[in-house]
Amino acid sequence: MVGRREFMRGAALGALAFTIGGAQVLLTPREARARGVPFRLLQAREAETLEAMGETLVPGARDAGIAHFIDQQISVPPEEALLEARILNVRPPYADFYKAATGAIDKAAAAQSDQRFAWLPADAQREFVNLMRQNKLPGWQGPPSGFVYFVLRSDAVDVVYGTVEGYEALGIPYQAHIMPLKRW
Amino acid sequence: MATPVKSGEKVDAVIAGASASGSVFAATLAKAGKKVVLLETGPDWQLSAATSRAGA
Amino acid sequence: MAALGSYQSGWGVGGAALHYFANFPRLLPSDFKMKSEHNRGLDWPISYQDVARYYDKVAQDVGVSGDAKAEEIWRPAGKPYPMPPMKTFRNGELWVKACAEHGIRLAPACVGMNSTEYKGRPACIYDGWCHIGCPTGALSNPIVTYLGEARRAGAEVRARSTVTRVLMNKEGTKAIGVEYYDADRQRHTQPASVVVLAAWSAQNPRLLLNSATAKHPKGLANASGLVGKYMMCHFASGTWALFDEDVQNHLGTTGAQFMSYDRYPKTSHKGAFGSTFIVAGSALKTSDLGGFANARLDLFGPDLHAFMKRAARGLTRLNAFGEELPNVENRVELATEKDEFGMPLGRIVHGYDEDAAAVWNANFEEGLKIAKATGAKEVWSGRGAMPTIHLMGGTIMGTRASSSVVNSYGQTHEIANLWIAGPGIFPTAGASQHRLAKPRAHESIALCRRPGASGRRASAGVSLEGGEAGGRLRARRRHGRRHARGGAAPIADVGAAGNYREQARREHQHRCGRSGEGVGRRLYAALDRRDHVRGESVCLHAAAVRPGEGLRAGDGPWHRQPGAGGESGAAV
Repeated sequence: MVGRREFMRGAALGALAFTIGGAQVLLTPREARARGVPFRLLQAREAETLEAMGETLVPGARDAGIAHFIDQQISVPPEEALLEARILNVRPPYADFYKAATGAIDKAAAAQSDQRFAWLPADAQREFVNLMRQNKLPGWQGPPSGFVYFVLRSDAVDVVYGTVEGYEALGIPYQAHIMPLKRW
Repeated sequence: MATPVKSGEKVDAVIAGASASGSVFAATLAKAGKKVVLLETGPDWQLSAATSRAGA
Repeated sequence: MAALGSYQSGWGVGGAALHYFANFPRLLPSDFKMKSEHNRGLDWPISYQDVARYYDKVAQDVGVSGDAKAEEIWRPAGKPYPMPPMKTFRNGELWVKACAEHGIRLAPACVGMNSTEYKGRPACIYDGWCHIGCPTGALSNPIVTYLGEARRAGAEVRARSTVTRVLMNKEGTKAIGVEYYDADRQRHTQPASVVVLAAWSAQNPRLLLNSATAKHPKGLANASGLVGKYMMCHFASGTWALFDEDVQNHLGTTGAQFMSYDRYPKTSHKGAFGSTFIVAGSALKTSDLGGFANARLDLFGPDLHAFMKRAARGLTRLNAFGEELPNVENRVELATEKDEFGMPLGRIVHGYDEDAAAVWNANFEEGLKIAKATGAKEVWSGRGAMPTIHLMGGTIMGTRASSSVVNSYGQTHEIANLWIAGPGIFPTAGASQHRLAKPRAHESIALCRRPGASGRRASAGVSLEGGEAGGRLRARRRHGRRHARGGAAPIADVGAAGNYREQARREHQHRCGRSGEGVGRRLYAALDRRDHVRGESVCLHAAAVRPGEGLRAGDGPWHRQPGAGGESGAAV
């Protein structure tokens, strides 16, 4: 039983919201990025890699706040996380997976071109991802690269297309019909 | 409403899993007048229950 | 490989059926007689005729919409369904003629959803969000059907209570209750006259094995050594068709609009053995596992965006589900690693054999032919790694204690007051009941005709009082107004079904800010949990599947997802 007290305590503490200047604020990942909300668990370079990778996978993912989304989600208890990683049987804590993934991306990028992924030119990034998805990147060390591709691509798709705006951009009515009339 | 089962009280049937199949056993037995407890590892998503049984 | 059966494991009161698609197709008589008719697999200790009336009864209990007459070209006649078939949409209809050209007749899918108001629950609004928890009560999940009824009849539900062991008397002759842990990890026992395990096909064996005593050193009900054996699942061959026209793919239901048993006979495909069940027309989403983006896993960047725009208008899918034969080597056993309660995790050892791979491949080939006949602009196979859907077996039923775990009622041969419920007791998997335990659970009810506790026929007189429940819940509902966008009618009445999704949404909202963010896929995640078998998964018979698409062992700490890294397509 999820008791009401427990439930409301969670909401009141905003343990799942973003933190700005010590205060908990409920924000979309896009807003969190726009306001420069500091990361909880991701290092700056990890976030940078995730943003660059997200943007390569799904245009718009950077501004949609993919790094903030992931950072926020890996900082909640795994059983509360709403990541596709959970459906995909990634073993918690999910932070381990994302840190291993970004590490593997940057190591493989460095092995190829002495640069981190985020600093590669766009066409080199695309070529990198194309090999990554096929498990064909030389020097890859970490979770299987095709799997990393799948998970990060799902996250990027989610922040870009899984939103009300994303549905609207594709011309589909968003009919989850559980939209609250106002934000909490 | 039936009186809650006391701690350690023996019931007619205990069902591990408030699942599709567990529910059927539970409904059938409870309707036959049997005392039934379902134990479910996950949360109870019914907000109604959460609000009416605060802190349970 | 991903954990076997990785699609459908539920999390929370209501179980997997919280997020199921509510398809209610039946097995056919041949599923019960595979051994005697084909000298393959196993026979059930009962026949289709033994369960037929329970299929009819369950349809009435939960509310099934469909056309029984149309199905009776494939199965023995039974009662009509209580509601007419669901509405259909272009994304389903366009498969009808193409299938017919290939000798496949499509009938309306029989689904546990309301095409009309039923027992106080409203008719479906066809918005296609079934799989993340139907918020209106139009879909017959356990909360609005049997579980609600059980509660009203006085059954007590304790959430956050994890059963870790069945407790036995000293003599080892009788179960005396269960041990469980609450949310604060406090240990409790619940004494009972009868113990029923309904915890999932993989979890039930895990519990039996973990309950070993001096009298039952191999685990309970395991004198035969078959506890955990014969794990089975389904696999799907999805075929995509992309049209320029608008096929209304955001409308309908997540499961299917049409179904066919025309490839159900075990030898339908040359050189392969096992049934195939075909469904057509699923409402699609942008971002979930079976959504647009995963229809072309090879695309990323601007190419993906271009595809998303086309898919949002014109993408539709045909899906063929295949049957895996029972194989004693496919099993769940205890791992060395333990969970938070000190209970060993489950370890799944599973692999498909040549027959399964052959059925899977044949269904892709046929799917492409059919898809081409639709006149679609583009067609392709959603081929990734071979998926493992709907876990069954592990505690199979049979007539003899030496070759099965339970009898045809789900009662263990070894311990008279210990019962197993759910699809874990099936000796063969069929291909049709690809909506997890639900239809099977009801059949299992069907099979519980003499529960040890009551000595009564357990199937008698299950009825719903949805009106009453709905009223009570309406009165209690106080959070979050719902409204419809984009033309669907506003929901006037939110029944019991909506509550868990509402809560999941609210939790999501707390985490992610506003609710609209990726709500679909993530709610599915919220309702899903399988990590109690997060132990190692090992693959057998990998050679049976073509290189690159087989099940792969979890070679490291990361489980792999079927479909990951494949050239294209999500197999759903």
